[in-house]
Amino acid sequence: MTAAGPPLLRGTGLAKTYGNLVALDDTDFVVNAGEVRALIGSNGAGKSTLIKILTGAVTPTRGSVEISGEIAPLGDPSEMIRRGVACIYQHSNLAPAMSALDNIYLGRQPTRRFGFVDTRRQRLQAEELLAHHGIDIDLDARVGTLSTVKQKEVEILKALALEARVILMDEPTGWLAGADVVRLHNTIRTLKARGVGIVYISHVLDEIFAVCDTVTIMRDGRVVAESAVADIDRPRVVHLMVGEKLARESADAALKQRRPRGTGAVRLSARGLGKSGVFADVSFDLHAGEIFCLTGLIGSRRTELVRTLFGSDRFDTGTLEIDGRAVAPRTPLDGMSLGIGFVPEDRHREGLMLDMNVTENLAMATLERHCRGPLLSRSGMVRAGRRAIDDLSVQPRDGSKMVRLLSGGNQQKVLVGKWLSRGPRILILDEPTVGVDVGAKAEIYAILRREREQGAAILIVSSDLEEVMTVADRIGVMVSGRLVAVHDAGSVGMADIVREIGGGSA
Amino acid sequence: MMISRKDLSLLILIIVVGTVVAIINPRFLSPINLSNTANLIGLFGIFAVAQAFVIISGGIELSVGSIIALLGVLFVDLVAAGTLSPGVAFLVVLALGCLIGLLHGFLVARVGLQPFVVTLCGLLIYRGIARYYTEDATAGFPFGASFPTLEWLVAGRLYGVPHSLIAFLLITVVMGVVLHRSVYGRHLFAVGKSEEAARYSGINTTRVVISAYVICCGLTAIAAVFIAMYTRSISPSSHGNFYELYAIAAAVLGGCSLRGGEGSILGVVLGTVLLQVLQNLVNLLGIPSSLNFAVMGSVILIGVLADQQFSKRKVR
Repeated sequence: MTAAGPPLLRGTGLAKTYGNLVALDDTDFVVNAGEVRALIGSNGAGKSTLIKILTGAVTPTRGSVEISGEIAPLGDPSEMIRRGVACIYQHSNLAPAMSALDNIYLGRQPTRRFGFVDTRRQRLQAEELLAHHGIDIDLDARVGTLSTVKQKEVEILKALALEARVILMDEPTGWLAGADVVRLHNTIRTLKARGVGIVYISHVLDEIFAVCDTVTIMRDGRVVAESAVADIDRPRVVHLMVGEKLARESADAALKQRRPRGTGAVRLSARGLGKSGVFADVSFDLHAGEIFCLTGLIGSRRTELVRTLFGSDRFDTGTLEIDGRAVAPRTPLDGMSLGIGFVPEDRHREGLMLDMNVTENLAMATLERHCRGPLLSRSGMVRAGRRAIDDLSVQPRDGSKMVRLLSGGNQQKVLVGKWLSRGPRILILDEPTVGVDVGAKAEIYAILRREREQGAAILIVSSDLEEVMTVADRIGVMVSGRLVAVHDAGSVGMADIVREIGGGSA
Repeated sequence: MMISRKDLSLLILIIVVGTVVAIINPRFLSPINLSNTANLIGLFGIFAVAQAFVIISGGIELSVGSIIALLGVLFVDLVAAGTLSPGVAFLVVLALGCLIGLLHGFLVARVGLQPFVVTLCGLLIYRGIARYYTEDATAGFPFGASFPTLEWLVAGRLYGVPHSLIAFLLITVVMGVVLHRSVYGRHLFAVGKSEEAARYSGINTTRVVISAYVICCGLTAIAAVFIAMYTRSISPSSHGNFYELYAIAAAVLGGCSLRGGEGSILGVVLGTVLLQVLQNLVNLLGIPSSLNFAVMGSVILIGVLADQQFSKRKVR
């Protein structure tokens, strides 16, 4: 399978540091023609940094990239595309209102004189491409009306139309149902037969064993193992991903602090919750004084589920009880009056006012408390803000700083603090540490544990298994909109969770 | 309240322009001219402040001029025909203004239409109704009719200070407190900055947006009465034309961002003052009045450009 001559893509000694944080450390990475290489590792292992270097989005601190034996200039996305490296991201980058054909050639349509689009030539080229790669797509369909797997194929075609020779795919099956995964894998095999090199990034081990030839495993910013898929088995892969020492340490540390079912009082109880076409039959109890983690693949509908608990969406079947009372929150305000705090996944869009300062953001959910008569007391806000900043050790300790200018970890602390100031009885956090550095992560965990000790019921949605194993008292696993298992964190290993998460095809 | 850098530079600009005009043509500082300019500042300021509320919410209100025409015609007609006493007529007009705002807010926040479209339709509809209502004739008071109390209230002067300016200042203070010192004001800025994040913070965003339009159109109704009594005769096809653009211009000059979530009452006041001083400048310096809009447009463009350059440097 390895062709003679230089590999399609070769990264040598790639490294990237952000201040003191080493995101990627002396990494070599090779993709050959006709090879499907899996790239795996838990969050923060350095995968995305590596991908960003290869697409030109990030300039590495050290190292070089060769494409077909030629040194490529770094940190220049358009140059990388020109040289044949394309990336298909988890979230679609297509224009939904335009046809598949227009999307494939978006930005570089073949033109006739006077800049008119040469629609005939465009269609001929596209049809040729479809035939060559054996992909079947209705070129005139509006992309927004296509199924997710077909949209992925449109993105692949877009890459191929650019004469991409290496395609990076970031969690390509995250939004796909079982049959569509098979379809996508067949497309990948076709591309492979045509000599395209593919980098397949996924958390689903089943898929890696199904479609990949080779695997690169990363941990803590380094490549810890490279192997042909045929020469490695699943336990070994999980073991390499997690790292023995770390797994044992974090398990030990967490074990000492674990309190499954907390104080025993049920604070939130879901029975048969469902939302048509999204999730179904979800039942669980959340106890006072425990941390319950919901984990699963991206697209397993965990976010959609917890949004209905808070009231920013509605469930349509089942019952929800809070403190023994049946409730159906219809707006975030309802959720808040039930004592729920909610840290949403997208902190930039849904969580924070980036152009307001730290004090204003901290007070956003508690403005009524800072009123004297009908008027807001600015000094009250500032005092409360200063307390929260000290309490959460937000850096810098300056309430008048625009939130936009804070690091991800500090932004997240502000967002958590905004809800803690309400003294929530139930705190729901959706992917609370994405884009947060290791130090701030530990601080956020400490804050959450402290809230737990004070009797709050905490529900965390997380895709980061290390995080789940570290903070959870109990773990729930969601697959395709169903809660398939709930474990006491002390009595389950990471390998079991990994197996259950990928359960769709098992 | 601390004066922001933006407002301060606007104030300095007003003083500089004023000084230059006063030097070239001393009539600028004559009591008559000052009093007239103050009157215009009052009239235009009321609905400029009104506009600011909608702009801060992230919307825009284009029907201001048409509302002024429709409600003005209505007011004059009700009062002149003696159907209603001026006080009751004022309340009716105010209620109608709030109702129009409620409708706009509902269509924007509940139905989800774009503010530009909703209020553009409003602009056309109210103008049409105003013209139909008067059969395109000029509405005015019959010869010899006189309403001394009403006239003194809305068009009178106190020690040479026009009552319109006093009303404007009162409204400004109240609205300034609402915008900068109340929970509602915080909510309004939050909705303008990021509606999603506001919703997730437990803010009833629908209600906040609707009330912004109600405030805007309600204040515009008050302005309509003042303007009607100032002109005293209203030709419905041209009365209040382009006034929405004056309001938007004043708000933008005063530091409101059309993306929402930014702006201050003081800024809008200063923006209004600057616009009126510029108008005055065109008159006093003998610049052909046909160039009026061109001068205004250029100044706004330069102001916005300068501001953008400033804030760019600040970010770096």
